[in-house]
Amino acid sequence: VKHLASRTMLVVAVLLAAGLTAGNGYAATASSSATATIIGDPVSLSASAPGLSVSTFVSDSTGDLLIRIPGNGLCATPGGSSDITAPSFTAIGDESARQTMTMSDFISLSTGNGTLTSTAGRPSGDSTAVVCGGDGKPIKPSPTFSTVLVGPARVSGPYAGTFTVTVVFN
Amino acid sequence: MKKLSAFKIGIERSMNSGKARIRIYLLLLTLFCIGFAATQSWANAILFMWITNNTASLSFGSFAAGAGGTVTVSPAGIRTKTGGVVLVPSGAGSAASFTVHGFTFPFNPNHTHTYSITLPANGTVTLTGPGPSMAVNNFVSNPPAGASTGTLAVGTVTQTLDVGATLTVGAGQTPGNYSGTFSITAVYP
Repeated sequence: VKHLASRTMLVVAVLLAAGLTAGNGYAATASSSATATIIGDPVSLSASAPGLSVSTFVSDSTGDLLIRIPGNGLCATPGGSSDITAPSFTAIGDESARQTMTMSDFISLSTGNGTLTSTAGRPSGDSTAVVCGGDGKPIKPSPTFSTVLVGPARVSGPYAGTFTVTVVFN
Repeated sequence: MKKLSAFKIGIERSMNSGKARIRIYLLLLTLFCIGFAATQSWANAILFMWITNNTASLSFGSFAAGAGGTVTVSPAGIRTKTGGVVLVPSGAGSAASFTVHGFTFPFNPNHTHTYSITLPANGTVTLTGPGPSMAVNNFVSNPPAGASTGTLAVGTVTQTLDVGATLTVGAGQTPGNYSGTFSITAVYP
């Protein structure tokens, strides 16, 4: 009976404390990790073409691969021929994107004043691979970076390697 | 001591009686109610609250620093960037996701409980790694931070809390893995 009385008193104290506690504000805290992975910046590339140099080589947010060509742009006259040497790229910093690109991945080159287009699978050296501006005049040098869109969206991640574009002026 | 003994004897005698036992229980319940009502209303109470981080941590994904800029992950997990940062699509990142749990009392199916959400202040969270630390600021959440912005509907007593933020990346930031931690707080009432 004594034990019963003691337990009763204990329960009284606990319930009273619980009641007071329940009425008070309650705070809960939780933590999370935050992470980021920085990969190596795209490296500068070289290109062999009159007035053409390829400076950086990056991927955009959709997974397409962009080659940024500075100011001098690419100029070809109507009827001129071109030879786009098969580029070979190797992914860096992102294993899931690692692959070697081939000529068939070269889709288009936009200079800001016109578009040079190469259809997928077109063989290197095909003169029709280069088209001047829509007005038939030579594509003028662009003061800003131009963009080469290479490969479908399956290609992602920064790449490093060599890239050569040769334009033969008639 | 005599008074205490008398009290114990009284309890003993009382517990031997069925009616008296009921009175004792009613007294205990009353004591609880008094304590509870002293600080809070019956219809709006959460006895216990806790948070679990059970789905995703905050990740800014993979990117190249370039000339520097920011990488932002929204509470919906959408990643955007500013400046010279180049995002790598295959490392898309994610928002942090917490689950706020509340054990409510009393059970009232017509009542929802609100709570306040506190996110890290600017200047308090950094990611560290092989290069200079990077600041994580402008934490945002869904539901948003603030007073009484969170809701625990009775019956479910949980709510998902998604958190995003903005990472500031320095020009030429050293490549590698960076990590840090942050905390959120849910306060009732």
